[in-house]
Amino acid sequence: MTDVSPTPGEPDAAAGTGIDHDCVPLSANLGLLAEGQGQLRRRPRVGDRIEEMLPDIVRQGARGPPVPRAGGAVPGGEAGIRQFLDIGTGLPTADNTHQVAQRVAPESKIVYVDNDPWYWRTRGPADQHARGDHRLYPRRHA
Amino acid sequence: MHDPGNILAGAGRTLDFGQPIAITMLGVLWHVMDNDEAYAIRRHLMEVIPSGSYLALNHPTLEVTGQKMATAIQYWNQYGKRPAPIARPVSSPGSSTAWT
Repeated sequence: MTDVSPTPGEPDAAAGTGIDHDCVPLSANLGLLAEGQGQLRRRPRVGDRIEEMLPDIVRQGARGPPVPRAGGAVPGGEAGIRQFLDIGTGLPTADNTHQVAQRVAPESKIVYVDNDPWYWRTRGPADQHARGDHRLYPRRHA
Repeated sequence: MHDPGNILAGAGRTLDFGQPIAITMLGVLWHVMDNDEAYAIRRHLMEVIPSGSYLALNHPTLEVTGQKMATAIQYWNQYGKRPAPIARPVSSPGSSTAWT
């Protein structure tokens, strides 16, 4: 397997985000393959490489995240749960937790938790119609 | 995530912890490098939410794609953030999944 190193990270000065495109969480890399991709100027190169390594898994992710849907639809529908705590939300994708949960029950409350600046740069517009709360925990990982 | 008490305190301003809550931790808990800490985080969350609640976790595994996933994780740890261990799910008393 050819070792393809990404270009050293540089802030996305053109977009004015100050975000290093090569240093993002894995979930963000994969999430960008879904609808969140349009939120950013370009996809991280590390994500491209992971896609080459695991094309089936990444393509499956790009069709939409099955677990978030289950997380919203099953508890919301069959179990009647109306409260959701989404820890490590990640970038906006095809079916966000609040969309799935509030499709089942519009009164559902959702709290999103993420400590990554990518989330807060891209999440707001996608979730502007979400009910519930969006909270930032800026503490970085040790 | 390393401070579940802080998360719960914030969430408590919106959510009613007297009613069932569905918690999702999708592709995040595996970034906790220390297994004991990962268990402690999960335990802390589960102790606070009432009966009838749900916890959904997902986690990369070697069980399906084997070495391909191991190679991808190694690459990720070299160039991406944040690092994560290569893990296999095993049975463990009192839990559906454990990490070794």
